[in-house]
Amino acid sequence: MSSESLSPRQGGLLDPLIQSEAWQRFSHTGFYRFIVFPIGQIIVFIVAATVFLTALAYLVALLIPEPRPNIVLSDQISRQLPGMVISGISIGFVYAMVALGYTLVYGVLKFINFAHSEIFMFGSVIGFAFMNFLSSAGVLADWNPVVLVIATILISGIASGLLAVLIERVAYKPLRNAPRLVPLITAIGISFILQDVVRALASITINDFNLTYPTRNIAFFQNPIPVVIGTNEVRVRMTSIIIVIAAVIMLLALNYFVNGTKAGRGIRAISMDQATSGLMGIPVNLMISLTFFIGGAFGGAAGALFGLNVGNVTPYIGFIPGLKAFTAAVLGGIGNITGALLGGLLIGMIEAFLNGLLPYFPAIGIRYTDIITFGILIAVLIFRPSGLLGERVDEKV
Amino acid sequence: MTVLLELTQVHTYYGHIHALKGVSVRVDQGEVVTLVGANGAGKTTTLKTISGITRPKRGKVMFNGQDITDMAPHHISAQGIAHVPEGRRIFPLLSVRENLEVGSWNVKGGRGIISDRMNQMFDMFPRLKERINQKGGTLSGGEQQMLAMARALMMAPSVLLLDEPSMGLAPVLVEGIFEIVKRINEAGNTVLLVEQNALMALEIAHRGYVLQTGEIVLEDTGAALLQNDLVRKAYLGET
Repeated sequence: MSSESLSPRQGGLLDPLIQSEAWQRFSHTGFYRFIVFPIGQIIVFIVAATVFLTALAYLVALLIPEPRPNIVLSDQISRQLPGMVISGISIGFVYAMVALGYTLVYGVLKFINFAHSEIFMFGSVIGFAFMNFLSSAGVLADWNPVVLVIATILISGIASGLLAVLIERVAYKPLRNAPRLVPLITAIGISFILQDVVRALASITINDFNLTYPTRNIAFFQNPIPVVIGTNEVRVRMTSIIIVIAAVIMLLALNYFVNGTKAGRGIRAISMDQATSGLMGIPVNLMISLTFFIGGAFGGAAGALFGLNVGNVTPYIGFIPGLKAFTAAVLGGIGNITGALLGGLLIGMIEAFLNGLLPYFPAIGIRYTDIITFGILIAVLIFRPSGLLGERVDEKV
Repeated sequence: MTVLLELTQVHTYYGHIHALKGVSVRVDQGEVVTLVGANGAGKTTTLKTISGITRPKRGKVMFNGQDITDMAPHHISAQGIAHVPEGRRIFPLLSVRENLEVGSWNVKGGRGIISDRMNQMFDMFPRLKERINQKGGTLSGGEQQMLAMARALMMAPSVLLLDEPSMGLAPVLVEGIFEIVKRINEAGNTVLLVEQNALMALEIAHRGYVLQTGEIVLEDTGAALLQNDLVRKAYLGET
């Protein structure tokens, strides 16, 4: 979501446009930098991922036309394409929001916060707790669904952000000068502690840690919306639409915060050079806490949206989505905010395509989705550890 | 003259290495003071101890009559000490404008004051104005040094700590940098300058200290040190 690709390149087709004075002026307005550019970027990523994966799917169909008797793979792809794309986008945004938490913290501390998957879980549990509270007070159905969603996102986000800050202060800050492996192991320990504390609290308070969102009974969230694309009719779930809208708004806000505010500038400065940032008067510890808060808030909000979407959460749901979001962050280039967005959308889409098409391969089956996703993680780590967008650092010494 | 910055018997360690062994340095209002010495003599450590990046084990750092020995770097910077670190350390992925804005982190009084200061910096360093939207990392070495100094001057500091501003620059640019340091001082800024290029540094300095393996071995006016036999032999390459 940064404006790095704005720098004029030599010899491009668009050079006359890019170098024209009107464009130069427009490209430095806030409207372009904080609205047009990031939305354009999101659209480009979605279109690129769709085109790439569709082409890949048809290529497979060309190689294996009939994976099962009487099933023509290319027909199945055409029929399922809109549905796979829509579900890929919505799960992709969830991964992207969680991936941002990994990437922001990595950016400032060069440390993978493996407890972040539990922040995601915590957000989903807080979302449940809030809705459950409204439900048991008997007012859930009276709330306007839009207000309900906004309130849930805010409460889960703020609670998760504060939890992330608390964890950083208590567990990571004392280890800041320790060897890198130490905070990493600590994060894994924190992860287990959070799972079991949440389980204990849920068991004590409601005697069950299998938490079912009460929104399951609300028509607004459950009744799918039919959308006609060509000859196909796709049923889009309201929760998918909510995820996309909420994620886009939050991503725009994050882009504005990071690139358009003083605190965001401070966080970027710290991610490049912590000691020098201190010399410039930036309160380094405060900015690190702020980074954890924002990363945690995004993870928590994503958790609540995820819970709303799947309808049922437990203290153990964080692990797999957290690992996938981590894969997304690595795929996009850890430490790179734009990379987290791209990686998240890609992983979400890949997963949706696999979920849609693997059932036609009797020898493989849907269970292989996770194996392939984590295979990507391993492949990226081996062949391109800096990720698709990498960390572009051009520093003169 | 009033004493602005004073180190008294400062001892700093890196682990078990005793880097500063009782260093005492005084900087008066309006002076250019320079620390000269060989590699590893403790010049950079002295600056880092002042700005709070490293903490002294013993001794005291007083600034404007206030004890800043144990303050955090960002509080020290807010007191009016601007440290231009060795190797310039500009923020490579921030634009020139953003680098300057980071330098004005603690400036009170809003956008008007910040943009006034920025314009002053562009008057002093016109090259930076040409590159205002360029990323810091794409600047040349000399431009980066100008940016690092301008970034520090955005704080309107009471004292500017300069660590090896001429390092890695072409000889032609080195003179320019010392010219700028002189101008900064003539504009009323106090400067504590660390340099390997002892000749140039002593020429513009009011006073100087010679550091050897963590200890001050000589202290005099810049002109007198230039004439000193030890300095001439050890640091000015005369036989």
